[in-house]
Parts: sequence; structure tokens; C-alpha cells
Amino acid sequence: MLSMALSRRSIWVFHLNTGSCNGCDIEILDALTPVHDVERLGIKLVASPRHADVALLTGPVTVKTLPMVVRALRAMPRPRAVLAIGACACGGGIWHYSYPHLGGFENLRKLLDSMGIVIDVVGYVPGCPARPEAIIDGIIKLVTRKEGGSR
Amino acid sequence: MIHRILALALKSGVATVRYPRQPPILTEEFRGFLVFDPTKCVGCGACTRVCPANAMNLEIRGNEIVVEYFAGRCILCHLCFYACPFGALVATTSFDRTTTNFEDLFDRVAHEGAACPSCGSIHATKRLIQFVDLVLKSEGIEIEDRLRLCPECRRIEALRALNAFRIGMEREGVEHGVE
Repeated sequence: MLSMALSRRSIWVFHLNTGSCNGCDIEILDALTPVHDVERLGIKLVASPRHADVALLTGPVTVKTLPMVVRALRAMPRPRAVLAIGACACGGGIWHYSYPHLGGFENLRKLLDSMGIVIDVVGYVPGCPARPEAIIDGIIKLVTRKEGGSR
Repeated sequence: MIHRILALALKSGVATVRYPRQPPILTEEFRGFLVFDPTKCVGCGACTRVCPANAMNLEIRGNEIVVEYFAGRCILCHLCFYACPFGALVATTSFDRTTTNFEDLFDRVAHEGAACPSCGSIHATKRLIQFVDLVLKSEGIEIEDRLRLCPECRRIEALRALNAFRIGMEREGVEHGVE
């Protein structure tokens, strides 16, 4: 149902930096350049989370950015999809033992669940930084995800 | 003006790599994800000591010692590949660990743990102790029973042996430091 809903139209993505080092953000911009040109696949970067199907989340979700991240994800329409890009967003990266962040998207998701904000699909793109090809792969896997898969 | 731009555009050609249909642009030196070979791993933990991001973990779970590679935390430095003495971690140029299932990011190997004959705690894998035995035999070194103990018990046993030796020396009337 969700995969159908997403794959029948273009996927609009919103770039959400949660305290990333800008490595993964550069790779997202790289995917938008003529070399990879994701607009040929219908993937378009939008400026507002209210217009977005997928949030491209980079960074380990620092405490400073947490209120803004929660507001941005709450503003997204259902079905919400999040693509956690990079080692930081997937598992905390090299920061996972330090204090001023949640340590990746898994912990943020638990917090969002307790606040009643449902994330319908999550994709994980590991790598430090994640390659633009891997980001394209991630969006395609997120959209063509088989029904009855995990979560 | 437009003719000149068109001429330039035709000359430079198409820059786009049609990625899912065309192979990606990768050099041979590109450091990709590691492939974990469970048949070669002995559970020595060399990779867990060098990993800067703690993506490699060695954990004692009950009677088992679990070596875990968490690709979601890996920063692709390949230090574990250079540190592994058994070639259990294979370096690839693959970047495709993308998934929608969080558990897919983990590679785990469960090794049978060897219990300390004195206190019964799990301190190393059986495969590692077998390997150490083999190396010591090939070097012609006799295997003491103390080698089978866990580090804690080995320390206590070594001190006991030293103490017995000292007491024996005192009984014979030999002073320390004097021949």
C-alpha cells in the first residue's frame, strides 16, 4: 500500500541535518549534481518537510537539534519515510559513546514513538560518508520495499 | 550565442552516469564494506582493539563469545582488515549495505567459549586456544597447565608459585639479592 502510494508519483525528499559533519550532506548534494542527476528518477529536493515524502536524515541527532528535528518530522505528512544516511545516523558512528546526542536514528525513533509520531518506513544507508550511489539505492529500496517486510 | 553553447554541450557530451543501469564510478583503492568470513575467524579480538568506531565488538553471552560486525557504525577505515591475522575480514569495494531492516546491518559469529579449569569463567574461544596450542607445539614449547587458566587465575597461580619459591629459598637460608 505504502510502496504503491510512493512509487506511483515522484519522490520528494527533504534534507534534514541533525548535527552531521557535512560529509553525508555533501554526498546528498553530489547525488543531485548532473553526474548522478537523481531528478531523472523523479527524486526532487524540496525546502519544506510539509511537501516531503522522504526525509534524508544525516548526523547522530545532537541534543541541540533535537527540538527542530522533532518539529520537522512531525510536519511531514503520512506515510512518513526516513532514510538514515551515514554511520552517524545508522548507529552513532564514532560518536556513539559520547554524551551530547541520541546516538543515531534508532534511539530517536524510540523517542518519537513515545511522543506519538509514527515513522512508517526507515531505510538505512551505512558508510562514512555514504556514497551517492548508495543513497540512490536507499531511496529505491525504501520505495519498492516489499509489503510485509520488517516494520 | 546559443550556437556556441550548443557546440560546447555537444563537444562535452553527457556527464550523467545512469547508475542503476550503468556500473558506478569506483577506483580500485575505494574502501568498501568488509565481508566477514565466519569459518576463518577464531575470536581473538584483534579487530575490536583497533576499530576506532567500535563497529567490531567481542561480547561474552552465556557460554558463547560473539564477534559482531556492525556495518551501520563502520567508517570504512579497513584497520581491522590489516589487523586480522587469519584473513577473516575481507576488504571489498562494495558500498551496498543499504537496507530497510536494522538487523541486516549486523554480521555475527558465535564461538564456543573455553572455560577456565580453576574458576569456570569464559575467557577465550576454544578455537583460539587450539590455535595457540598449535603454535606453541610447532615452536617446541611445552604447554603448562597455567596457560589454560583465565588471566585472573593465572595471575594468582603465578604469585602462588613465586611465593612457594621464595619460602623455599628462605628455608635454605639464602638471603634475597645476595649470592
